[in-house]
Amino acid sequence: MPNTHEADPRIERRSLQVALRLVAYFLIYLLLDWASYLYPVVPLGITPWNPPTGVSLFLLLAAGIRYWPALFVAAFFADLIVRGAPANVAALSVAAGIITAGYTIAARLLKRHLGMQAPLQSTRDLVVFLVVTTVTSLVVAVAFVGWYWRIGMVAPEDFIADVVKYWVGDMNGILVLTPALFCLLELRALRRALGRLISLEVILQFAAIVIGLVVTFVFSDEYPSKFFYIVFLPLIWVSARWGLPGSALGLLVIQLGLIAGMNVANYHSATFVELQLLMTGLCMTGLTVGAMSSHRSRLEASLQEKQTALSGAQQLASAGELTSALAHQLNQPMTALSSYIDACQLLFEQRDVDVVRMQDLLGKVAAEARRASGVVSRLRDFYQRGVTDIQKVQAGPLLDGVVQMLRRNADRLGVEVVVSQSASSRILLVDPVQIENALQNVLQNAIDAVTPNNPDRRIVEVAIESAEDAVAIRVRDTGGGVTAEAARHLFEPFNTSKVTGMGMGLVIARSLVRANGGDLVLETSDATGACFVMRLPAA
Amino acid sequence: MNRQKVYLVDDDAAIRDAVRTVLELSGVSAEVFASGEEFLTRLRPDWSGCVLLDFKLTGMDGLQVQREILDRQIVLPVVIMTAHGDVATVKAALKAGAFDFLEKPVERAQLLDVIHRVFDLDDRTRREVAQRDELRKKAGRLTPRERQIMQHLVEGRQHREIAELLDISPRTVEVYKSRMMEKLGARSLADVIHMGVRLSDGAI
Repeated sequence: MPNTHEADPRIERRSLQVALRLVAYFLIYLLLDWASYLYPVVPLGITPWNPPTGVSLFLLLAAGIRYWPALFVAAFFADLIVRGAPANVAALSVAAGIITAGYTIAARLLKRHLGMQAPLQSTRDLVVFLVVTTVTSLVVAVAFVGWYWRIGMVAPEDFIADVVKYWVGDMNGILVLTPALFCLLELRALRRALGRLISLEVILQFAAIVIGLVVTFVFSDEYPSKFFYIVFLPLIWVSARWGLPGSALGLLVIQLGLIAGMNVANYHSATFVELQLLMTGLCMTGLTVGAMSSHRSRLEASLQEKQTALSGAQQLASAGELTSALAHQLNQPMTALSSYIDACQLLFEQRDVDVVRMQDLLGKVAAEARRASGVVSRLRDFYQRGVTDIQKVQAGPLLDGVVQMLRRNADRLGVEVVVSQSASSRILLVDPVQIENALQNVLQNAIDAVTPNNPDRRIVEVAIESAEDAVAIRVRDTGGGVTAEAARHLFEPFNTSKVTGMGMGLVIARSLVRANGGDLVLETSDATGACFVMRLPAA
Repeated sequence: MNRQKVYLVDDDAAIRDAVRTVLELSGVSAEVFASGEEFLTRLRPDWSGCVLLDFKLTGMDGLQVQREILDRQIVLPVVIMTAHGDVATVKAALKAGAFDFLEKPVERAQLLDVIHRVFDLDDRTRREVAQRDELRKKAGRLTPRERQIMQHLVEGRQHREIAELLDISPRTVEVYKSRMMEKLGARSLADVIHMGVRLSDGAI
């Protein structure tokens, strides 16, 4: 079978990938084990911080459970190389087997219960992760220390202390490294995070962590755990601000800082164990805050996405409404046009053609043709504006611009436009062109409504008011108001009380405002006038 | 009787003007109204002709105007104008008693055809109504006896039968009959029966 000799490039690439992963894992494992070989409990070499465990768990979770034999090999050779073979080969094999079995089971449990899309991103995931790792690392610690106790390498009075040391070391190894490695895996998030590294806030956060660590060690009088709580503050800040990637990275920085501090100050080993115990608490707190913050921002993002989709659907619906409205609107001049042309023909059929009348009719024909073309160009304008481009704009200047545009027309009609801007500095999140257009329609409507009044009562009041996450623009006129019957059809196309209007102003205005995530309603209306409220999303 | 006219109701000024021009140049006089409300305020029971009604009016719509005309028991045929003759609109209009419908833009030949058919119908109904009113007036002048004789004749009875039923002589029946026919202006028994049938929805 010649096919078997031909190398399948896919299989080749996959085995290359597996080999690369294994080499990387072994190197990192040994390097970290060597680097973190501080304050070991002789002769077993139990260290108060054991980061290789975090890498092992990450390998199984990210690359697959089938990598479990690598754990055994790594643990075995690390004992040989880093710890200088504290026991015979058989004893070391059993110890490595305990570690391998424990964390393979942990990985299996986690895989079954964690969300696979973005592990550790939800608070539920994090709780599962914390519970499973706490329990399994405790079991592994008991089994590991128990094994060496059984073969006489651990004194009975040291049993509990050694279990605690081993447990804390593994826990911190996992809590500091596994989430951090998961965050590094998300390249997009990493790139975003790198982009943020230069921001002032991140520099301040980093500085706060460093200050916390410096205070911990400098003012400690041999007891660094006394001031360690100070480090909680910057970590919670980082976690709340950047979510899980922030807390993972922050924890890594703190842990490295602790190691560095311990190396410089050269404390007693018990002090380091104590610090590592506090570090476990810090890890749990930081990761929980980070996961909650990540969860919230993801919820916000999906909400935003849904809102966008919804406003798209609304736009489509209002587009359908507009199409049928404009089709009707186009049919009106066409009807008149066709009847005027009929009339011209009838006039020609008469014996003495009335030239004056004919001229009059032809003038009307032309006017109707222009009216039809006006409808078409309005339609085109609307659809050119159809795509919303949300920007941050200040409410006051936006309104001023529109009022300025209408001012001349208002002055000509003797209408006074009174603007009061109590919340003019609020930032709107809208498409300024669309909202200007909508405002223009509503204001024009109000100006038209008051024009029939006595000159002293031609007043339109515009006010910007602030709400929690919105800004309300209130347009009040002193016109005759809107009847209940008319109010029902107010936002339907072709509803107009004006001789010249086409009944589209409010329809378009509402459609535009809604496309921007706001709303336009008739708030009150009575004989003294009407009041429209345009609510717009604001920062 | 009033001269037949087209009563055009449309909220679009240009359409009102254009259609009125076409109608007037075709020899049909027209009156225009900008809304259903305006039309109904000015509507009088003795108007005759045809209402040309835009279905999609601002304010009161075409259907409401139609119902109001019916409610006032005014006999004035309605022709609906719609932008696009969608089934639902046309069905609703015809159900409410519209005579016909026209699609906008309105074609001249169709417009005039419909209007003339409506005018004819309106004419006929009015003539019939007038004739029936006339007949009723004549029937009102009959004595109870003459009315009885007419009833029996319409029901197909012979003179002798009628005489027996009313306990009078056949000769007297003949006398009542000829007086009755004279009052109604009937020239034959067939005429009497015909008149009897036409009166039959009301009392003779």
